[in-house]
Amino acid sequence: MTTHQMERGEQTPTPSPKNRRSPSSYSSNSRLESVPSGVLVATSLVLFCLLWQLAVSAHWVSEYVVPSPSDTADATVHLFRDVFTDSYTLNNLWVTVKEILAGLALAAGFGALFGVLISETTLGRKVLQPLMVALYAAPKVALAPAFVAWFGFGLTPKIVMAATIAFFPVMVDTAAGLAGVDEDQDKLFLINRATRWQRFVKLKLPTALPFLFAGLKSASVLAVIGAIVAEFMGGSSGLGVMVQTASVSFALDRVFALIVLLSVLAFLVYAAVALAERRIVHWRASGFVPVDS
Amino acid sequence: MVATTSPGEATPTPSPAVRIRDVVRTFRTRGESVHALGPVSLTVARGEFVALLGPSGCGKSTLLNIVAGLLPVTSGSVEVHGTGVAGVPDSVGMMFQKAVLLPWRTVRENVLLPLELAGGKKTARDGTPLADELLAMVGLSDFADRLPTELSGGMQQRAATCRMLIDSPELLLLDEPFGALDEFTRERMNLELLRITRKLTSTSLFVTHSITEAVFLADRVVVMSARPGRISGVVDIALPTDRDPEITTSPEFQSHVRHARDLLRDGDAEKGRS
Repeated sequence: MTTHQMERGEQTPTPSPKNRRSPSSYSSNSRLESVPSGVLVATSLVLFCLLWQLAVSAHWVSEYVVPSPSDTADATVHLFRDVFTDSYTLNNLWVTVKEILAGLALAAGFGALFGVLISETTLGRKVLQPLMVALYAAPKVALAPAFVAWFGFGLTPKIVMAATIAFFPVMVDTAAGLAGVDEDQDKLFLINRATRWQRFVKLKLPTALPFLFAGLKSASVLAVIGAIVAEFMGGSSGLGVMVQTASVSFALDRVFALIVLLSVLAFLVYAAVALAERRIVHWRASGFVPVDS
Repeated sequence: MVATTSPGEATPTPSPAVRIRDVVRTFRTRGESVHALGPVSLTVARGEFVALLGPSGCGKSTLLNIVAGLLPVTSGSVEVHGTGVAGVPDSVGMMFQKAVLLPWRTVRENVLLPLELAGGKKTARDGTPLADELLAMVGLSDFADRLPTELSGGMQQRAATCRMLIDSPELLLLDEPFGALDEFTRERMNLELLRITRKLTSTSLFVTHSITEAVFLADRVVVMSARPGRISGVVDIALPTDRDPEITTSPEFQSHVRHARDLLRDGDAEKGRS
């Protein structure tokens, strides 16, 4: 959906006369349409938690398998307090944050570089592209043991894992963005006898930027996954290690709390990228949903 | 291609703005060769306003792109200002059906783009007063620092006009520049274009499929027919250079329109026979 279409959708006047349905009516449930989305989300969450609590309290499921929402909430509050007070938790958080940020930075750099090579050079298109497609299809998580073997148990294998997983959307979206230059805009540059470099810098790059950021947003979430998976495979510190420790001692409420923390972390990275996008790609109104075209 | 201002041609008159000789263009699609255009021959004098009029598929845009050096000819030759066209010729400005403004640049930065591409940021900065002057001429002074998306379609095309004129090109190539606008805006834009081109000494080649637009704007209307694109006739417009919308109701205007329409129909009929 383009921003245009979305804007138009928002501007569609709410049909006031009750029994009149416009032929282009895009939603059949007009009563829900008038309720703010935040209210709907909150209501669903509350309902979900009530059902969850009921399932545990009524012993439909064992508390060992599924911790109750109240226990989970307790564990979460506890964990978030530990982040500020307990050096063990703080250190582990810091390790994971470093892995994520370094992995994302590498993914951004190499992803953009390879995207440019694939889109702009013959060798890139003919050699790099098929290779990358093959690698894209491979389950990169399975590489984690190899990374441990190659890079040991320190930060490096985690960073490499995070970067490897996060790299692909950046590369693919950059290449797509560079290839998506408007034909008429290209003609305009040709008629003004722009050099290849000018076309690249003044036309293709700005065109590709929104795509690059769409890729970076996917990458920011994937980098978190990559870091945690690598920590599972052979780590001595990090939030992933804390998840493992908690799960072997059947402290599932703590596992859930850690997942909440990780989600918050992923969201913050994502939000930072989205914020940077809004500043850099200032000419486009962009929300959290990546806009195509 | 060879630059030809042949020494034998010792006339003092300068070479014409555009000289098209037996130009043929065929496209290859899925192994099949499609004869799109020609042979077409046409000479446009300096300062002349020529409209290329025809139905879609008659190759008028193809011909314009060939003159612009954006498409190669299959056979024949094109000269712009006496020099054979190989690549984009000197001193050419172009307008498209869409305004084609870069959304990340302000209106003024868009207008300055040709200068920036030709001579860098410094040249563009030096051109700022001229850009502002042009924007004032089309009534966009208040929008110079806005982004294109904040402008209406007509305003965007005005900005595109300024961009085309910023480096004072001698040849203006106009590819249905107002085709995407509504009828009222279009009429206003045509008037504005007429006013601007009459003030300049530049030559204009204007592609359109509107008969009245062609007759209203041009000194000469070249009527084309489709498959393959050929010139089916030329209408010399004997109207005063200063024209206002009222002229469209005059008998002279109407007779030119009829003439052009007849040529369009004849071109069509011929195609039907073949």
